[in-house]
Amino acid sequence: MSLAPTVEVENLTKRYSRHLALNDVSFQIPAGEIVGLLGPNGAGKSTTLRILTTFQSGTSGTVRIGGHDVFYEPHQVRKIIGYLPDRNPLPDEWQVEDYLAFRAKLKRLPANRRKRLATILEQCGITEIRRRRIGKLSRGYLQRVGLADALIHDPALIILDEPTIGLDPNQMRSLRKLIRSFAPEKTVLLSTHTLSEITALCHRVIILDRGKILADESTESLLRRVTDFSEIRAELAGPAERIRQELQELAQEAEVTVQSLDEPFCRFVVRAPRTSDLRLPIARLASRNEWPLRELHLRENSLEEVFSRVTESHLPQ
Amino acid sequence: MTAFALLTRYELALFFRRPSGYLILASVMFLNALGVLDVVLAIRNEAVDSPITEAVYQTPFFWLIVLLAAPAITMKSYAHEYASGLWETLTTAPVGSLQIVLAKFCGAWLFLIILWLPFIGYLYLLLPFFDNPALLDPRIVGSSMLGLAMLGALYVAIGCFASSLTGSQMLAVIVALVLGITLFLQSFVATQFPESAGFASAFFNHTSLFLHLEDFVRGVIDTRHLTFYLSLTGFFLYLNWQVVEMRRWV
Repeated sequence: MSLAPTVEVENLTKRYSRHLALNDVSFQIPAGEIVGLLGPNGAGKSTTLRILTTFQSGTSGTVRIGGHDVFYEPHQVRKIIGYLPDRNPLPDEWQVEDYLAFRAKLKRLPANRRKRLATILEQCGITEIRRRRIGKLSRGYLQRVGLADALIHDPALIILDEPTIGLDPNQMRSLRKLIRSFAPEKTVLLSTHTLSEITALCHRVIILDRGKILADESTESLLRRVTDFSEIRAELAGPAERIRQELQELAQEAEVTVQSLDEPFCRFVVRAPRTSDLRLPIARLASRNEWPLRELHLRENSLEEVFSRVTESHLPQ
Repeated sequence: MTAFALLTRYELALFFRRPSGYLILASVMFLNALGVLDVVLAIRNEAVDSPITEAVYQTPFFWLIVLLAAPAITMKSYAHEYASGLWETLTTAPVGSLQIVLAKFCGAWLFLIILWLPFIGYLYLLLPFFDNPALLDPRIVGSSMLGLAMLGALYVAIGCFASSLTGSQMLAVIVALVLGITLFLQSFVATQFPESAGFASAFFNHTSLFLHLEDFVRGVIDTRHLTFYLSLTGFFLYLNWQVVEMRRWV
């Protein structure tokens, strides 16, 4: 298979009657990168992927994959992409192996088809269900069959729309391992709702919201930017005001708020710079003062928080 | 194997993987049997000298099959794929839209031809009732089957076009039936005009399905009739292709 292709999107706009799904979107994906498209429902993720896969055409703008324009050379583009749509449509009537063999032929897989089929069944963990009818499979298996379909012809660019939907944690882990193994020989573009997926897989993240790109940077730098503060929740019983003062003393720059819970417990929320993990000092403080400690929890930054931070940071623009 | 041949085989195989394919097959065989019964009852007391195929062609059951089978076969062709999302995986594979349109048409058309094959057996079942083996000349059977294939191609093309318009199978059937029945009913209009009616008579005679099929069931293969069926089939396939192309723009 050819070397990993680059993806170049320039001023892409897509309008559905009165609704503007994509508004002047531009980005580039260098060859061999794994890039995540992150955004809420209706952000334009699936529309972007559908245009990249030649399923739809944009209203204006250009998209080139491996140097081929998706509008003028759709056939060339289709040869080098492997696509898993968000709904993962599969025909219920077929056996897994028969369907994948048909797709392999349709995608012009060369003579070593049988060997490739066996490899992909193994890679996707569906060897044991290869004789089962697709209509009888569980959601997790269906997702893996869809993925096998996307990968069967060893594509240079893999486009996955919400690839881990319906998978259990173990399946998710093995799928992520598989996707990571594609780089740097292949370029991967995937869309997701889940921040943990981005952090586990992607070199770069593009955040879309209401058809516009809010952020396009390395996953590392985005996470640094949005997770520069951490939030620790501690449920303690004792004199609330004194506890608050003691917690404040642990880190001068921290912001401590108190919420009353069922007597005698209160919840103390400590928002402090990420560089200082205050969990252990808080536990020691409680133990020293003999304040019963019911819960101590470091809250991970949720996708919502990432969005609100990124959106806030883009407001001046 | 080319993508076209591969897709045609896939489309044809789908009919034998779905219960609906067998239901259509059974229904067509049942209607054909009723047609045979109708012919047997009609010829009981009279001498017949026209080919058996012509007698069958005049029964209402024959036309019921013509009108109903193609919409039933083609309703899923596109509508089901749009609704299920399979259209997305099909059109993002390295296959041209024209190849898809032709393969879907050929798959459905081949299935329709398979549906008509038992009809040949029924014709030979009728032979003892006619007392004249010459009325079922193999050449007449051949030309009748060719005529049926041509008429079937037209109705399958209409059905594929109707299915390509919508994601609802029910709506696809309704559109295909409306178009098919309109074409069928306008054949009656031809009989309302005397030969002297000029353009109107010529137009309705030229577009009458009955008149175009009549020669085939009598054992005559006329290129005018072939041209009629092929050009109309081509016209609906072209519309079908344009609809499919347009979907990328929506």
